[in-house]
Amino acid sequence: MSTNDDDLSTRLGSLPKEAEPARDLWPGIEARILDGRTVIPARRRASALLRLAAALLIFVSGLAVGHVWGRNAATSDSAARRHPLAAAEEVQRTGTEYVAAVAALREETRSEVRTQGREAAFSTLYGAAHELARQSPNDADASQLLNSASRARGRSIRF
Amino acid sequence: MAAAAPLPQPDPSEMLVARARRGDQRAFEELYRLHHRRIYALALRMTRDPGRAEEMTQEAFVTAWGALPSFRGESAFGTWLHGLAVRVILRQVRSDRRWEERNEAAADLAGYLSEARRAMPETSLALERAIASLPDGARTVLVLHDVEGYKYEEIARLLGVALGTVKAQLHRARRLVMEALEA
Repeated sequence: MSTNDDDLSTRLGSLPKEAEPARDLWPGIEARILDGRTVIPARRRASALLRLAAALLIFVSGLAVGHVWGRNAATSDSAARRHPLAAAEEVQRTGTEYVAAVAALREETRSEVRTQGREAAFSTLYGAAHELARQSPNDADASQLLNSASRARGRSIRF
Repeated sequence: MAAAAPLPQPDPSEMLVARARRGDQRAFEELYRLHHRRIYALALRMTRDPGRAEEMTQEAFVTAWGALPSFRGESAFGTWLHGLAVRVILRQVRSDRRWEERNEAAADLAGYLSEARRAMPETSLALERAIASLPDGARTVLVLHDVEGYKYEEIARLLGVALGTVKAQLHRARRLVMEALEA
């Protein structure tokens, strides 16, 4: 490399490496990031909360029925027997819906609705933990999860 | 008693990256605020078109958001992001027919220089003009090597060309820039 080349390289290397765009580019990036996510638009928030409440109702009803019929579970035609992955897929699918409904609470501006949603969310979490602990009474993790969920539910519910 | 060695200063991006990897959009916005000027300057010199440079900067960050799970911290986040942005910009430039049309339009140079003056007031407009006047391949290599500090091997890998091609392009680019400055 000649002296001229050295000089040119130095000059090129000292050119500014940062430039401020004329406008804020973040809103466009944010919109595209959100497009790629499972985001519940505002108009669907109310229905999401309703679905959460309905899911809770169905879950609690199912829990009660399960307690009555639990002893006969071994002879029932379970989802897992119909298809090896059906039960796991069902848990995952409904779990995803549950998480999406809870996530929608972030967008809710009415504090009362948010509080109700949190109560429902903790109750559902407690219900799931209860069921896991019931299925595996000796599982320490399940017991710990049930205790935590029970405390959280107790704190979240208004009397 | 010997003085305690100073604790290493944590990279401000590290915590933000960790949060962004967990889906924290606000953390990713902070990363954008820290790094977007670097990416925009690169895109501006590569495209010579402020509008396309904005689009490609956005594209680079959207791509980075999607690629965050693959970031393993083996390099600094800024380095990783810059490399990703180079690939995004090169891909866009190659596939953008409109860009090729603009590439031959003399009016673009004035627009580029106007934006360079606004966005980088301390820059040398004579150098920017000389760089912007280079043919596509020569300009890309010169910007990546002499301005951004990439090594020959890295540029060859990014462009998918032989090492000798990169060196030849750089030699040609420097000669043309020198001629432009002396004219």
